[in-house]
Amino acid sequence: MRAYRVVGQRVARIDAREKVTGHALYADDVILPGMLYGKVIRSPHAHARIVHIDAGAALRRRGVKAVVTGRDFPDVKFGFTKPTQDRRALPIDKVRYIGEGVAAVAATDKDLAAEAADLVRIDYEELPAVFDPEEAMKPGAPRLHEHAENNVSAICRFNFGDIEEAFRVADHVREDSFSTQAIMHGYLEPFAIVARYEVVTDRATLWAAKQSPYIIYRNLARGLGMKPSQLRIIQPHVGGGFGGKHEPFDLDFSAVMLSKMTGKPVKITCDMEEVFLSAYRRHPMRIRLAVAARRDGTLLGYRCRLIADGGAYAGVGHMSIYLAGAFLSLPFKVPNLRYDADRVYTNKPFSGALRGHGIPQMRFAAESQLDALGRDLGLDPLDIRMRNRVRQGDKLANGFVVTSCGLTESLELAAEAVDWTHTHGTLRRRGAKVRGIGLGCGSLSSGSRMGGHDASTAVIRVHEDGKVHLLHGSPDVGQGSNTVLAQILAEELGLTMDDIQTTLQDSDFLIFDPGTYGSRVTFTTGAAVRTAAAEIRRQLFEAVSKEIECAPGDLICKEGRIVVRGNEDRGVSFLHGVRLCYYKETKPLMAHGSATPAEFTAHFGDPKQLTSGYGNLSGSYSFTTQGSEVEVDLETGEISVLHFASAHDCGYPINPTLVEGQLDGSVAGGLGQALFENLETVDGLLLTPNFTDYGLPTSMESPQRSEHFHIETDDQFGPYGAKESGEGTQISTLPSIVNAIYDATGIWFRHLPITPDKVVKALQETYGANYLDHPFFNDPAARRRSGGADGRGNGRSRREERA
Amino acid sequence: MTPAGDGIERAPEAPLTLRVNGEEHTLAVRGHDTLLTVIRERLLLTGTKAGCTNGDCGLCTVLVDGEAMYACLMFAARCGGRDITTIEGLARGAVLHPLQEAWIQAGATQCGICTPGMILTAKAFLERVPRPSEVQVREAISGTLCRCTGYMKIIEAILLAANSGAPQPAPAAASGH
Repeated sequence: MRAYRVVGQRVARIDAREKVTGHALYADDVILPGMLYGKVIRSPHAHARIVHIDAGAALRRRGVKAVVTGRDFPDVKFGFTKPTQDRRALPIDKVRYIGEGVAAVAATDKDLAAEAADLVRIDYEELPAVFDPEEAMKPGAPRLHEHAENNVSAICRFNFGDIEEAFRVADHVREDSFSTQAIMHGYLEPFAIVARYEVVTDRATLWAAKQSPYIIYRNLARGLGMKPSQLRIIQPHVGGGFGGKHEPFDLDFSAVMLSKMTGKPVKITCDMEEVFLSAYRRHPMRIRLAVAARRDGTLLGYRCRLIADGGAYAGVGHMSIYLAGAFLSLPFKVPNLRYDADRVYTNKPFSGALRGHGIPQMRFAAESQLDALGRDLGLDPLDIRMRNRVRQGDKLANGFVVTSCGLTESLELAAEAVDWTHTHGTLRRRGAKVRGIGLGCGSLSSGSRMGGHDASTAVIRVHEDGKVHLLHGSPDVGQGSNTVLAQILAEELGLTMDDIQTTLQDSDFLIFDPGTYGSRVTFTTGAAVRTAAAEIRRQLFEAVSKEIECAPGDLICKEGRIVVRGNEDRGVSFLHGVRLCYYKETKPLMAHGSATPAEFTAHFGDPKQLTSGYGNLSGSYSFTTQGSEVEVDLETGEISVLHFASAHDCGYPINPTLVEGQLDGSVAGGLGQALFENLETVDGLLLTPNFTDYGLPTSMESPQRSEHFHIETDDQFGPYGAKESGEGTQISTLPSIVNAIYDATGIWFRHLPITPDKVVKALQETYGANYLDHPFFNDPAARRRSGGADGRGNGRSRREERA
Repeated sequence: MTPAGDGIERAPEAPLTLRVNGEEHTLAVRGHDTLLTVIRERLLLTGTKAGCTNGDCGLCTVLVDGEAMYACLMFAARCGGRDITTIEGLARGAVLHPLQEAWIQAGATQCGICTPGMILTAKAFLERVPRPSEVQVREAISGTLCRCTGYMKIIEAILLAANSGAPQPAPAAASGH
């Protein structure tokens, strides 16, 4: 039994009071004396040469202070790895998508900045554009970047085990095609930055809505021709990230350069339509997936061809397609894998990281196909999952090592929550509405080794009054990591949450940290906090042991005191211990601790490794099973989610309320992608540039009931046994909804999103115009006979083939 | 357009007296200034958040005469003499409003950007429907978006606040659900 006092408790967020009172400052809330307002001018063309930019009329307008274009920046490109350095601060030669920033203005107020933006005259020469990734790969297609032949920006070629043999010996194979749409992160805070360049120090201070200062540092400094140490990044609160606020954007470069040109602070806040037009998004993927299995459902191999629509720039897209392939197997054990992926440039905003990063698309394909495989073989979806599930200690074909695994329990809990045994496969119709349940699993890494400096560092200072201050480099973008880290610190020092303070990141006071991505913060930064806290204890114990004459090793921190283990009456208060350090030892009580995933994971900053795909991505992996119940209105095609049950193995929930918040948010995001959201473009022009047209779920679309089950597996690497909890459940949502829709309608949707028009069309095509009268929706026995309609398609068993 | 003292041509301004969080402010506004612009940029009450500024997300919701309104869609010039409450007007010093306490207890805030607008939406709603059903809560907040929480803990917080208040019968209009 665990005896923690702060860790594991549902303590309130450390920033909650600030946030509920409106006191929390976000980037757009920062106001500086003499501040100018900037506006980015965006391309109206999907692909065009920039012929000439004439800023004369804008600059003649009173109150307009400066105009910046690509030519004002050094002639350098930046990017995630060397081969993918294809972006500039602002383009100089051509634009590659509608909405790309081309120039920016600064003026004394917002209205003037908007007017000035209209006065900048940009002459373009339109170029042929390409929007479809497969078209873009064809010879003779318009080329976006000189270096990329056939517009391929990154590839993966994985080959593990013996795929030919797997398909040769299989009892059954099937092959299916899938596609996923572009979706946005959906952060409700638009991009914003305030930049102040100081000529006397030749440094710039930035307040920006970002989730990883370090990535911004490197790329921003490079694009600006400055050294990272010339930039000071002060982190305000961030209004949502979900992977979407990593990269430096046109407004960031522009604000710094405009400040440099004018000698005044410059604020640029995008409007939401600019975010819709220009922000990076989730990769749309086309997936062709062939599976080889034994008669009993044992998975023998996957052969996968994937084409990802990368948009105009590389971003971290190589990582995205790597991740899609890396999770071709997990959470199941598949010994033979062949994965060929191409990420292709097209004339659209670029694609990048988004909650689950590349994995939800692949797992949507693989796990809805798993249900179809089960139907081919007469196996229950729960049984086929149980048969192939990974277990603790498993090593996968691509080198992943599973150090802790609660998948078995999660399958059992989620299945029970939706009453799987009695409900699945039954006809449940009321009026025009039918219900169905589905399962989906998922797994995600708990941070990964990305290359470059990768350690997290925590700095702890103990004030003379006994309060403990924590500084670290991983921004809390809403997930609650500052609270979790404070809980860890309080636990380690035997204190309460009231004794802990944190300050948001400021690069002048911190050691570089990769920041907040890939579900790494609790896992890695949490470990750093523990290391730093141990050093604080060491210093305290040394001082206290002299005072009460005992060995330092006999002392423990407990309930606000420093006491002798086993003789807890003997000791001093924590505050007294602190004062001994300061006043008797005359030493400041501070420490730092670092943690890095380097010890136990492969290095994925190396493009060669991303391409070949072998290696253990992370120290630990989380596991989820999600049970979903949906209701399909057969008349309108509308789908509502009645019930989500998420059974999640995050190792150990350091704060169950925060973990539940992560699960709720993840599954809501998955629900949006499954049923509603779409950045739909025609010839590169976005048709859905606002939340309503785009389809961001409101409270009316969120599940009517949401259940959580925390599975504790006490991971050996994570602090207090904790693993990932921020994004893994978004992976299980897509297949569990798709599978539930199949259970309700007998139709397997392989192209997202599953909108009402698609549902009605599919019902008509499958069951005829009078589909409401079809036995499938009227006769309980018909379901058992048919096993559904659309899903059977192309599976063939070895025996059939021979006959 | 009229040139102001700095020689810049701007739309003409007219005097306006706004009552925000019980305090009167007299200032000159332009005809196209929204209530959101005035609250955030003139009165510097940055607790009210700007999201889409287009009536699409609900982040900028404030109370105008007790009713939840999108400040981005209201012209400031039309708010003279009306009682405006922003998130800064809810707590009394360090003593939080029951809704704010419920938000903290339920874990209903994550990134926090929707929190001010959502809390004010809930306040206006609970004053109208003190003992709501869950479905009523969902409907009431459907005009404000949240990406972090999936709305689950927000709904929980509002029900918590409703149930922690002094017991009172639900009004007839709301009980038929």
